[in-house]
Amino acid sequence: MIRQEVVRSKLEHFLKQKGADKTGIVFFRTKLQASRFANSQIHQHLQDEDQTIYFRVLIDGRLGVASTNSLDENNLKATFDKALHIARLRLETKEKKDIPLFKGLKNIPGCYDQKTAKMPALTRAKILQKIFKDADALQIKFSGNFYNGLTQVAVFSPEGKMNYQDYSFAGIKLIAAAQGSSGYASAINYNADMLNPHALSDIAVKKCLDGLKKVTLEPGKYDVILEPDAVAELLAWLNYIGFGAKTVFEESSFLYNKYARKITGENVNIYDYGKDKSTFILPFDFEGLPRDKAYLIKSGRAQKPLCDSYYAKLLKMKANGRANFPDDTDGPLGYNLVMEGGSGEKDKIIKSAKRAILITRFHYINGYLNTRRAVMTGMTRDGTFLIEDGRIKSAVKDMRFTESILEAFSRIKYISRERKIVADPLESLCAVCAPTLYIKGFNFIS
Amino acid sequence: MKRYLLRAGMDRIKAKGAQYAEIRWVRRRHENISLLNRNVENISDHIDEGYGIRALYNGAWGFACGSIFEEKEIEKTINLCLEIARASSSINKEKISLPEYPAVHATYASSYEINPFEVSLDTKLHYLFYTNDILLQEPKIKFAQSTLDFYHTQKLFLNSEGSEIEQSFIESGGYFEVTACQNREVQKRSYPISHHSQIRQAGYEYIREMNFPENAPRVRQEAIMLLSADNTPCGESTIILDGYQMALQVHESCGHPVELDRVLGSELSYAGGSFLGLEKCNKFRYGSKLVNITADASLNGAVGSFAYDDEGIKAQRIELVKHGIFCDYLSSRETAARLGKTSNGCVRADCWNHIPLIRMTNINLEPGKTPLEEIIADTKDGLLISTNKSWSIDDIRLNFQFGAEIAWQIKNGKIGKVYKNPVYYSNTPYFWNNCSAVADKNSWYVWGIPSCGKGEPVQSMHVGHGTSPARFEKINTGVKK
Repeated sequence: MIRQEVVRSKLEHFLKQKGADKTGIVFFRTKLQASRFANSQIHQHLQDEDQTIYFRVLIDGRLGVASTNSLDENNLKATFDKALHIARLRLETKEKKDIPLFKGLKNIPGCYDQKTAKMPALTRAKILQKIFKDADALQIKFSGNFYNGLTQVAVFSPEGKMNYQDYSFAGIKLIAAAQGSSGYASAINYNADMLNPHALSDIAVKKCLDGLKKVTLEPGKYDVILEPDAVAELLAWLNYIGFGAKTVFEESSFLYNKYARKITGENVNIYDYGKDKSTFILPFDFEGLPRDKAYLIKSGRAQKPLCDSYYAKLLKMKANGRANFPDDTDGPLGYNLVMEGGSGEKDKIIKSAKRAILITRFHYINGYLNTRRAVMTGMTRDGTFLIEDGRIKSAVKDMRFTESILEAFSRIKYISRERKIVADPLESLCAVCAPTLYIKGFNFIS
Repeated sequence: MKRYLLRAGMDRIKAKGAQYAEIRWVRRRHENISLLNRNVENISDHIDEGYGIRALYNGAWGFACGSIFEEKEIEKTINLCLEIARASSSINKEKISLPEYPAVHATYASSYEINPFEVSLDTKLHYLFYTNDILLQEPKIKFAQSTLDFYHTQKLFLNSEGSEIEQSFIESGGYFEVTACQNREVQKRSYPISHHSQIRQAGYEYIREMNFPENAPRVRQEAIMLLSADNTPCGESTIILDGYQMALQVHESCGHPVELDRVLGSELSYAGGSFLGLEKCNKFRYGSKLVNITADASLNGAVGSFAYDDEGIKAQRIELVKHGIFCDYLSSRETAARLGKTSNGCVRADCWNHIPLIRMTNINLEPGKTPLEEIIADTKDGLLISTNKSWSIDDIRLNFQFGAEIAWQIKNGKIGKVYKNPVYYSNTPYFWNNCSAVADKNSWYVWGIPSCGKGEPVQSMHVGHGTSPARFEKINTGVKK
């Protein structure tokens, strides 16, 4: 962890450098360790750290961005000068950019656990050793990843305010495999003590053993029960193709021209909120503005998109604090997505099913097929079961769905009360809090 | 970077008992310029520099990295790397042993004519503004986005065998896309590829060669045509895939499943495994006799090329599929040794702080002998499908579905009407065994994809694919509701 006083002392003076109308600075750092394993052996065991310091320099509405991973004063100065050089370019652009000012926010406490951030390789290895040993007796081999680390974010406003947040994380992904069957379980938390790896290994092993004899189902429409990992993947793609202001501006989003209109069933409520601890908090965006609670779908009706100061101007709406990294071109995105829970319980939802497919998670979803309708395709993976009369009847060979997720979300019969945080800080900043869903008539094509 | 510190670090890690060790320094500069309509969306310039240390200790791996080039810091990184390796070793039942390779001393720089970092931003912006002006000339075109990307990557590789290899790569690329909108219809067309820049190991001359302004009017008109086009019909069809769609097809259904680490289970926790198990090598009929696929890390100008990989192994050309028979994998020192072979040099890391993994180099569908025009003329009833829009494949690389931006009907050997939203889906061996033609070298082109994801933490690699258009019979198209 680089202390926030150090971050401030290294960067603050650049805000007063001559030549710029305004300067903003973003500091982003991650440090982690990961134990990747396959065939119940650790095969990739690593420490990874990097940081990026972005200078955003504004001259007459023109923005220059330059970045470096070095906190060395000479490198920082060279990077600042590069941003200045870019901002000085004379361009005939219509829209002028700005670097917004912001109110200072207090660091949210309780999100950083030093023991979790610094958990050593040997501690992870010993926990895994026990899991591997227990599974050996069942001739099951484990693959997966056990990781821990920390994230630090600081954003400086042109007038010298600094918003700062840090948090620790630890996560485990387990795939139990035997004789062509596999079962998945995962957990992630701010605190490694909350992971309960042995309980997770029991879940993965049970799914693997339940999956030993698979039947083939014909393509067609089936009721499905999606576990939170599967739901989270759908929500992450909805975010990518439609929750952000850029996709609405480009008219490709399913939210485009739909404000306050019904786009899913009334039981669907999805929001993004930077302070929601059921995700990994990011209380302000990369312009320093607060990531206030913003509904994207409320009682099935489309709401306003996630927006930064630039797209707020273009769309004539108020920025809601979703500026992405300064050099990003995907536009504003949600990093703290929450689907509200319902009144169901997962076990009761399964018991209620006359005939349905229980899906643990999806693989390789792609949502670019038709973004206005949110048509996506993807495969089931690591635990797909046919439920008949409320019980698992057999495992099912993996299947491909192609389906409009908005239309599928109009056919949700049950939403579970209990929800799970699904995130992969080794891939993306985005965290999703998702329930279990029962959806009628989900379309499988092969 | 202080080379003497890294050399001293190598001496220390050997003295501390590492069986094998590498230190890899990387400095990468990336410039991105992006316009959306008549506005600058992004101009950014990023530099990232640091070193990674990988060591084999008591038969197990450790990796640690740092970005501060001071003796004390490097010592800390070495100690952490060995601590991690000891932890692996404490629970692993199987010990890894690596065969020795001869030490290499080499320097290499990729070729280019015009250093893109010496071309002014004004010149680059003018090129993009001019492109967007052409694209936005029709009112139905609501959005035009154009982008240029330039990379300069410098690497120094040291290992405990005494190798010291210095390499430098300049890459240039770009793309543009237009969005046509009318009522509830939104359609995109891109050039030369979609979603991201087409890149080459080349200088600014490649940006000129791609010639955005010359291609912009055609792409713009095709986007407008799609607004009133019918959906691609559902059913079984003969399809001809254009070069870029073939690149994605090769990438997902051949490039990934031949990665030997994936075959051995290393990627199960993220991107999955492979249907090409060890028992299939030299026996399995992967495709028809027309299908010849190679991995060529020595292909001039392609982004998967290098002189030596990130384990210090010389670049090679490998036959992966020969006359339809699957015959080799992409390998590393460790995985090749498990098969009793030597590495064929396919290991790379995307930056200093990530471990080296088996990665595609340039995975190429070798050209056939028939001109594309003859293949089309020889097709009675089918579809010509162009420019990837969506991609999805299962976790063992068998069941796939691709979407594309545009399709044209082929009737009695002639190109006909345009269809929108083309989708096709199939199973990898069925698909490649139904390959009935591969176009000749006149339509063979080297594509460069900057975003191949693999590993945890995820690494985004630049990989190349040389392909020509190819024809496949009896393939499912469209999606039944």
